[in-house]
Amino acid sequence: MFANSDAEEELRGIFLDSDMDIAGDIQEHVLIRKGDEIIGGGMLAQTDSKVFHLLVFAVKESARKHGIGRVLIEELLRQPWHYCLDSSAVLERDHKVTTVAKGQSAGFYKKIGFVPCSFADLAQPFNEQCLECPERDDCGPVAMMYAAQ
Amino acid sequence: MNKSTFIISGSGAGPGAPSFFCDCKGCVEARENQTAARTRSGAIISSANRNILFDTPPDLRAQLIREKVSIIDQVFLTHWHYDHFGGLGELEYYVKLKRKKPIPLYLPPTAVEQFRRAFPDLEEIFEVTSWKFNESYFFDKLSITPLPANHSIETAGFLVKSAENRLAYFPDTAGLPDETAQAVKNVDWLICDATFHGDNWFPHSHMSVLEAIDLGREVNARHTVLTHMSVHYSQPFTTLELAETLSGHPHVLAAYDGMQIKL
Ligand SMILES: CC(C)(COP(=O)(O)OP(=O)(O)OC[C@H]1O[C@@H](n2cnc3c(N)ncnc32)[C@H](O)[C@@H]1OP(=O)(O)O)[C@@H](O)C(=O)NCCC(=O)NCCS
Ligand SMILES: [Zn+2]
Ligand SMILES: [Zn+2]
Ligand SMILES: [Zn+2]
Repeated sequence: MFANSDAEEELRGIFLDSDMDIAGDIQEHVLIRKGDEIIGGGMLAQTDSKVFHLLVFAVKESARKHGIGRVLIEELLRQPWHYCLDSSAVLERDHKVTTVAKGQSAGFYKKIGFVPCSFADLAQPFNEQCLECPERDDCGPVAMMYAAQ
Repeated sequence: MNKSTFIISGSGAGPGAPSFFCDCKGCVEARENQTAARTRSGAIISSANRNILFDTPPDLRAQLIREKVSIIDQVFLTHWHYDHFGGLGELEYYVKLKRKKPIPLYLPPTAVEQFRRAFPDLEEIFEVTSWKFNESYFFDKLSITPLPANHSIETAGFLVKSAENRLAYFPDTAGLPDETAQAVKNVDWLICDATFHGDNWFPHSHMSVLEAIDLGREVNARHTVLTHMSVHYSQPFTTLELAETLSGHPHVLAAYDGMQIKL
């Protein structure tokens, strides 16, 4: 599911529609394809031995509301190791995944099992990413955490 | 403390994915995308000073290179089917050129004679013992116990216990005999046969994805890991479709080649 450079523009298009962008290296992103079309993607980073942070995540507008977001994120949550380049890749119990839900998306993350947490619970630099943002009031970012059992 | 890792070195069914003769959508994806490929089923317990193989599939050499395993201390076979023993010959040069003494090979009792017939020239490569069901073998701080599986021939799955975890590895089985199900009750990890996606063509020797999920629930496994997966039987599937099937089952994971579980 990892992206290669051919996918960069297509995935960037999906993210830009949602006011996001590719988070660093395209190769570190995970994609979901239907036939030849890319319909969603995201990127995870490992921030501690059992903690991962979801930097970006979006489903193409035309493909939303069909359960695709759930399928992709549940797969990322089940085994974030597998979808994280350079991670230690060892399955353990009790891993956590954090993210910052923007705009309307907090409702989606709640449905999936994330619960709101404090920005202080996020790893550097994600704990500070919204502090200086001019769009903070419009966007209403919510720090969230998912704990696997 | 000496930590061990259970590595799923191969997560595919008999023909592997991609299969050279197949161009279903699962095989097309596996050809294009290395992470969707599945070599034949096998596993490795790896720690700083020991590596134990479960099965020697025909893809063994590539698996050992991928997992950077350069020393092998013991080999256990689940059963005498080609997709599980076909790579035994790969160990010949390792023993002759590097290890310089035979590798202990634990075979199903009924497979000892078949081993001798199939590999008459490997007698000095292996020190053959037959494992016994329900008898435990101890290595460092781990125990390994072969338990009966339901397959077409005499077949074991292995219960591995560490100080912290219990893991059951059953790559080829159709459900579990009662006493085995009892013995693996509440395991932390049930890694089991999920050969078929859709209809199960061989209900007496393999399971489908949904049957494997049910088995995990029956034995109350903390996590169920699906392995020995075909990507084309009975319905071909892609990674996305598999993720759709598993949606809503947060404790069920599809194995992939190279998956590592901490013991
Ligand atoms: C949020 C997003 C990923 C959801 O994708 P999707 O494919 O439409 O989601 P699904 O269809 O899988 O929805 C799963 C569940 O979440 C619910 N849901 C989806 N979006 C929701 C929202 N904005 N508010 C509340 N619930 C929502 C759905 O109703 C569904 O519930 P159900 O399972 O009970 O039916 C997608 O809308 C998106 O990319 N949004 C823009 C990008 C964004 O905001 N990303 C997050 C910032 S990092
Ligand atoms: Zn195929
Ligand atoms: Zn078999
Ligand atoms: Zn098999």
